[in-house]
Amino acid sequence: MKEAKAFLISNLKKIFLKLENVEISYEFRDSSQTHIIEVKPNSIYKTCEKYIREEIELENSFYENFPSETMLFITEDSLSKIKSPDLVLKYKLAYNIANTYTPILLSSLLSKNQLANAGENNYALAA
Amino acid sequence: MDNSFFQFDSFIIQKSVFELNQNLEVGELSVGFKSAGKLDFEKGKFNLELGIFISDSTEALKIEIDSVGFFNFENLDRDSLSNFLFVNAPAILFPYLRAYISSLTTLSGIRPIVLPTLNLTSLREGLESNVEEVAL
Repeated sequence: MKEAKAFLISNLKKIFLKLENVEISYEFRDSSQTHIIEVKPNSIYKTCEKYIREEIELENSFYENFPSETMLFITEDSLSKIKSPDLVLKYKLAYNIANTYTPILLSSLLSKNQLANAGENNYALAA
Repeated sequence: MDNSFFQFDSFIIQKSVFELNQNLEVGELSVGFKSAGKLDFEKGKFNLELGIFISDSTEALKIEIDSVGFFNFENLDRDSLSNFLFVNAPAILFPYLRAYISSLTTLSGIRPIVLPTLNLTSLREGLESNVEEVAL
């Protein structure tokens, strides 16, 4: 069950990032042993082709990997509701990959001579 | 009439996961939440468990933070308490997590991830049904 949860959460994050203006909640309900996924709004759940394709793909790979587990997709007007979500995906954040790593280059800060001198004063480097 | 109050006492980070794959191709990050709580109405204590998940589509960058905020309250009936528990408490705790994630990413040598100020009222419904009454 833990593996199935991790599998679903990982894939739901991917789907969430592929779609615009969507909210996805996930809950594993102990009483019915079901993985419930709520997709909002209705319009995406019912008519967005891109979403529907993703849902079918996820269902197929889920049942391939976890044939004994059950999953259920629902939306706003479904009879089943998410009560205690394990995860709510609602926000996206743009993150620029450019200059991801802090550009600290020793050679650009110290000349060769300074590096040689620094070797004689190790205590200063440690400080 | 006695004064009533709802007070933020402290918070701790219970779990902090930072994973970075060097083949990072980040464009957009998903930000997910989970929330739960433990309430001791008699003693006037509330522990809010707030988790944040941040990752890109390939999970080359993955951050998972679980935190607990400790709150005290006095002279509040259950009706007036509900707003404090389910709306105010997450709003009070969130900036601390925001700062933590910002520091964590900065100190990890990548561009800092600064979460925007978010309206967490949408967590209310889920949190409400995820609160259990226990002796704290």
